[in-house]
Amino acid sequence: MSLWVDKYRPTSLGKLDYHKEQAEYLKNMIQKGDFPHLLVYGPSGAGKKTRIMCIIRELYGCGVDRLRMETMTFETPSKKKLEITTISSNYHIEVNPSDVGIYDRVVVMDLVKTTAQTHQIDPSGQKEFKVVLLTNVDQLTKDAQHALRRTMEKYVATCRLILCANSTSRVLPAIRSRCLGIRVPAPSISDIKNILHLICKREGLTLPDELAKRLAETSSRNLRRAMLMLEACKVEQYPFTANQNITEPDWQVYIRNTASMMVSEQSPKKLLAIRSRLYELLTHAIPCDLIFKGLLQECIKNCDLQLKIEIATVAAEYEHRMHKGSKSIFHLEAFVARFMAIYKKFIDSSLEGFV
Amino acid sequence: MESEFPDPNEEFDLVHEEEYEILKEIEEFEKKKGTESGKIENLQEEQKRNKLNNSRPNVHEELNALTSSKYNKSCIPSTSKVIPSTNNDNFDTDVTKKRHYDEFFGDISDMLDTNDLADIQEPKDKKPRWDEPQEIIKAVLDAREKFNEYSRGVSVNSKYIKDKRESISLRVPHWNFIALTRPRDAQRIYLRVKNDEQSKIKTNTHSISNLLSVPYSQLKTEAEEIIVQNVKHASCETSHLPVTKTLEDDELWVDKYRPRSYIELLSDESVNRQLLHWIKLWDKTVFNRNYIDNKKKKLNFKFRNRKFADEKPFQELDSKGFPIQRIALLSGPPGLGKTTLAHLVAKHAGYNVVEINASDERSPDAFRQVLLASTQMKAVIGNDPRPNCLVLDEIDGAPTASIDLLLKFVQGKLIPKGKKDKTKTDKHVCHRPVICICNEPYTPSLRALRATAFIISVPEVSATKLADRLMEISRKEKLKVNSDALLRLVEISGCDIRSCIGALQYMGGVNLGDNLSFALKDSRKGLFDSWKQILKIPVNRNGILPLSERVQLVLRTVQNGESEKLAQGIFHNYPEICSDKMNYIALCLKWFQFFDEILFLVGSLQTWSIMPYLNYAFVFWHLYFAKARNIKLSYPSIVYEMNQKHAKNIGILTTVQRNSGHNKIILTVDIAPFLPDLLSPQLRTVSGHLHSDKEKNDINRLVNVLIDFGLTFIQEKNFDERYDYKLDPNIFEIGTFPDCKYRRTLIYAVKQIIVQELEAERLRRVENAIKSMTKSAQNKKSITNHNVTTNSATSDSAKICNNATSKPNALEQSKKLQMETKDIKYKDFFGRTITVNQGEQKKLDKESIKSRNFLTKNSVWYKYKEGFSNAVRRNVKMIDLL
Repeated sequence: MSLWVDKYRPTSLGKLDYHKEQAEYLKNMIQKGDFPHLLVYGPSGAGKKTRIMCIIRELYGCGVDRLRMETMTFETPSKKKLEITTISSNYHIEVNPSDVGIYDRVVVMDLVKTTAQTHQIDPSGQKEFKVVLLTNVDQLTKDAQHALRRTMEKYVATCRLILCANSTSRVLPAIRSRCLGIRVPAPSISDIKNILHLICKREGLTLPDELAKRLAETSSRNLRRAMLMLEACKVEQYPFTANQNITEPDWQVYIRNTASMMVSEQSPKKLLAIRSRLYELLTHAIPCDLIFKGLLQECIKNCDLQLKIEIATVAAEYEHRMHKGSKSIFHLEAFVARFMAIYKKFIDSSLEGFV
Repeated sequence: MESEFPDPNEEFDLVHEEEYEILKEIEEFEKKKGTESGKIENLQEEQKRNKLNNSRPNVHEELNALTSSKYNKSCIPSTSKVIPSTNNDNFDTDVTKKRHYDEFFGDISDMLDTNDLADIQEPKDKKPRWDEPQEIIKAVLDAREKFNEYSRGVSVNSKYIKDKRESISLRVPHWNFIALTRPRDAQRIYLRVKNDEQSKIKTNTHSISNLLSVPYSQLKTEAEEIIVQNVKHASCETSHLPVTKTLEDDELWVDKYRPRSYIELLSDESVNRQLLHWIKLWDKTVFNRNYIDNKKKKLNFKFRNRKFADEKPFQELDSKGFPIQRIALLSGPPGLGKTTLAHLVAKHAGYNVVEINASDERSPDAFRQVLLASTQMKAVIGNDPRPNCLVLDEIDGAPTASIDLLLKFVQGKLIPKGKKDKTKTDKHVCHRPVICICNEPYTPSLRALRATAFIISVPEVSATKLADRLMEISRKEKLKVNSDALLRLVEISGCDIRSCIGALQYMGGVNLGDNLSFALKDSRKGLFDSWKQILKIPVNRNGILPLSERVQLVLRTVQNGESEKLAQGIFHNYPEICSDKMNYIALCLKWFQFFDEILFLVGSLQTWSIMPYLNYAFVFWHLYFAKARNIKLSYPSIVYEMNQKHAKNIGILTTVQRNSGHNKIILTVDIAPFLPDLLSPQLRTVSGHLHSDKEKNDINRLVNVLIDFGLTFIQEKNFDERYDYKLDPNIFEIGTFPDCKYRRTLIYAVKQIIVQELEAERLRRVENAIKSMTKSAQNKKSITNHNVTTNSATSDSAKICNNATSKPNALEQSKKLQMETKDIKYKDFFGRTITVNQGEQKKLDKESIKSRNFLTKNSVWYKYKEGFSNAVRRNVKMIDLL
C-alpha cells in the first residue's frame, strides 16, 4: 500500500494515536473473549474502519491480513443477477450491502445468513465465531434492516456483526438496541496535527507547524482527507512552506461556487445555470446529502441569525423529503429556489429599510 | 390574415424579405418598361382593361399560366392553350423578362404575379415602398385576399389537360381502350375507357383540333355545355361550380378543395416559406442556376437584415452546391396538410413529385430501387421533363433499415448494386431533393434522420382561417351552415383540416351543431403537445378560458399515463418560461418534491391508489407556469445524458473499488479528488537512468499507487490523429470538475516512461508472487535446509524492488548474493556469471548431485543453425531483465 493513508494506518489497538482511552476499553473487552454485536459510528475520516480492523486483528491475530477480494453473485426473487464485492479473510467478511441499492435485503439475507450459519471447523485455538462487517449501515433500506434484526439474535453463537455507520439516526432503533454502540468522534485539530508531524518524520520530511495546522483545519477534521492533502502538497512542492497552496477536493470548491451563485442573483435564469451544476455534481456520484450540506453551509454564511434559522429549518425539511423520494435533483433545486425566494425577500425588505 | 402574425413588424421582416426585393424589382422593371416604349405601356393599359372587362375565371387562368410558365419553356405550349388570345401579344413580350427574375424568385412568382396585378391597378404614387414593411405586408395580403376572392377554389383545367394526355395514345396502351381511326391520316388512336363522369369531363375540355375524332353524342353534349356556359357568362353572375358539382358528385371534398396553388395553402406562411426556401436551395444542383448568390447580393445591397441571415443556418450550401441538410422533415399531427404542402411546394419549384407512402413496399430492397429510380433517372419518354422530387410520406412507419438506407443514399455512401467503381462516388450522391413527412418526429426509428434533416414542424392552422375556408366550401356547395357551428367543429377536431372537411361533406351541414362527437379524434397527444397544453394558457374567442375549464383541460391532458415524462419535461422547460417571482417557483418546486415522493412510494410499495394525486401537480404547474404567448419547448434529453454519465462513472468506481478495496463513497469524496494531484509529479522527459533520486522515488511511488488502484495508461488515438495515453479506468473524471482548478497533466513522454515502469513493476510483482508461493511450498517440505536461500531470496527481491531502475546494480547484487549463498558459479559464453534461479534451485535440491550437474550443464547449450547467428541460448527469467 503506497498512499500514506494506507501506509501509516495503525495495525493494532495499542498503536492508535487518539481516543486512546476508548482503545483501551476495546482491548479489555476483547481480551475477555466475548463481546456483543458492535455498532461503530462516527463521521467519515475519524478512523472507524481502522479501529474495527484493529479489533478483528486483536481477536484473530495476523491471519486477518491475508485478504481476498471476491465478487459474489446473488439472485433476487425477480431473477435479477446482482454482484457485490466482498473482502474477506478466513475469519471475517466485509460487505457494503448498499452497493446493490434497493436489493440490499437479498444480500443481507443470503450472505449474512450463510456466513452465520456455518460454524468454524476447527474451534481450537480460535474464537468460535466469525465476524461479519457491514459498512454503511445507515444507507441500508428499511427492509434490509428489518431482515438483519432477527438474524442478529438467532446466530449470535456463530457470528458477530460489526456495523459501521456515519450516523445512527437512520439505523432502526431495534438494531441500535441489539448492538453495543461505539462512537468514534472526529479527531481534534491537534490530534491531526500530531499525526501529520509523525508521518513527516517517518518519511524524512520537515513539516512547518503552520502548514500542519492549516491542513488540519481545511480537512474539516477528516483525518483521511488531511493525510491525502498532505501527500498532495508534497507532490506539488516539496520543501514545504507555511503558506503553501492546499488542494481542496474539487467537488467542495464546486459546491461553494454554486452556493455563491445562489446568493449573487435570484432569478429563474440563475436557477437553470445552477441546475446544470447540480447535475454535474450528481453525475460525479457525489452523495446528495453532501451536496445539500455543502450548499447550506456556504449560503448560510451571509445571513443574519433569524434568516439562518429559517433556512436551516427549510433545508432540514427538504433534505428529509429528498430521502423519501428518488430524484434528488427535484429536491435540490426546490431547496435552491426556496432559498432564493427567502433571500430575495430578505434583501428586498432590508433595501426598503434604507429607502 | 393579420391575426396569423402576432407581431407583423418583426416577422414579416424575416419572412417576407423576398417580397421586398420583388417589389423593388417590379418597380425598377416598371420604370424600365416606361422608358423603353410607351407602346408596352399602352399594351399594359389595354391588358388592364381587358382584365377588368374579362370575367373572373379569366384572371385566374392567367395566373395559372404565369405560374406554370416558369417551369420550363417547353412546358409553355401545353399550358398556354388556356391563355385567352387577347393577352397573348402582351404576354409574349413579358415572358422573357419575367423569366429573368422568375429564375431568382421563382418561389414567390405567383405572389409576384398578383402583386403585379395589384400594382398595375393602382396609381403609381400609391405603390408601397419596400422600406415600409407595413405597406408591403398589406399589399401582399391584399393580393392574396383578392386572389382568394377570385379563385373559385379549384382550377380544373390543367388537370383535364393532363387527363387527356393520359387517355389518348398512339400505341396499344395498357389500360382499357377503344380503338379509333383518324380519318385524316388513317392513324390508329387508342382512347381510354372511363366511367361516365370522367368522360364527360374530358369532353368538357376537348380542344378544337380533335373535334373530328369525337363521336357525335359527345360533341352534342359539349355544345350544350358551351351554351350553358355562355348563358352564364352573359348573365355575369356565376361560377361553373354548380355544374362541376353535378359532374363530380362522388369526389371527396377533401380532394376537391385541396389547394391547387401555393397561395391557397392554409398552413402557416412561415412554414410554407421555410420549405420553399429549402427546396429552392436545390436549384443550383438541379437546374444549374444560382439562387443563393443572387439572394446574397440582394441582402448586401441595401436592407441587409442581420437577424435574417443569422437565423437561417441552412442557407449555406456546401462546397459542391448541395444544401447542407439534404433532407427536409415535415412533422406535425395528422390533417394539417403536410402532404399537400410538400406536393405543392415541390410542384411550385418545378419538380415532378414522386411519392412513396406507407402503402408502398418499404423494405430496404424495394426502397433502394425506388430511391435510385426516382432520383437518379429522369423521365425521357413522358412529356413531363421536369426533374423528380421524392416525397416520402408517413416515414415514421418505415423500418429503421430503410431509413438508414435513405441516409446513406443521401450522403452518397450508397452504391447501386452491381456497380462497384468507387472512383466516381460523386455520381451516386443524391441530386434531387427529398422531403420526408411524419407525424411524430421523435419516433426511435427517425433518430438518425432527425440529426441530419432540416426539420420543419407544421403548426396548427389557426381556427379562424380554417373556419373561413370551411365557410367558403359550404358556400360553394350551397350548404347553409352558420359560422359558429363551423368554429366549434374546428375546435373539436383540433384544427384537423381533413376531418373538418370530411365532417362537412357527410353531415351535409344539416345538423352539424348537434352531432359533433363523431368528429372527435383519439385525443392522445404527443409529449410536446401535452407540454404545450400544460404550459400555455388556453384561449378561445372570448379570451382566456375560465379557471375550471383550464383545470379540466389539464387533467384531461395528463390522463394518458405518461406523467413521469410529462413532469420531467415541465421541470426541464419551466425556467425558460416562468415569470421572475421566486416564491412561486419555490411553491411549484414543492410540488415536484411531492411528485417524486408519490412516485417513489408507488414504485416501492406498489400503492397505485395514490397515483391519481399526481395529476394535481400538473394543475398547479399549469396555473403558475403557463403563459399566454407562444413558447418554445425542448426535449429533456439531459436526463438521459445524465443517467448515461452517472452509470459510466459508477462503472469506473466499481472497477476501482474492486481493485483497491476502498468504499465507493470514500473513493469519490476523499480519494478521487486528490488522485490527479498525486499522480502528476514533476518529471523531466529524459530517459530513465538520467532521473535524479527524487524523480525515481516519485516514479516508483506513482507506479505503486497506480497498481494499488488497478489503473493503467492505455494508448489511444486522439481525434487529431495523435497518440495519447489515457488512464483506464479514468478515475480523474470523477475527481475533477469543470472550471475548478487548473491541474498539471503529464506530458506524453513522461507517461511513456511511466507505462514502461508500470509494466516492469507488474511483472516483478507477478514474479514475486509466484516465488513466494513456491517458497511457501518449499518451506513446508524442508524448513531447516533452505533457510539461507529463502532469506537471500527475500532480501534479493526486496533489493531489486528498491532500485529496480538500475540494471547493472541489480546484476551486481545478484552476483554478491550468489557469493553469499555459495552456489556453484557458471560462466557463460561472454564470461558473465550465470544466475541460477530459484525454481531450478528447488529442483536441484531435490535431485541427486549427478542429475544436478547434468541439469546445470544443460542450462547453456549451443546450437548451430546455418545462416542464423544466435549462437548462444539460455533460459532467461523475467527477473534477470528487470
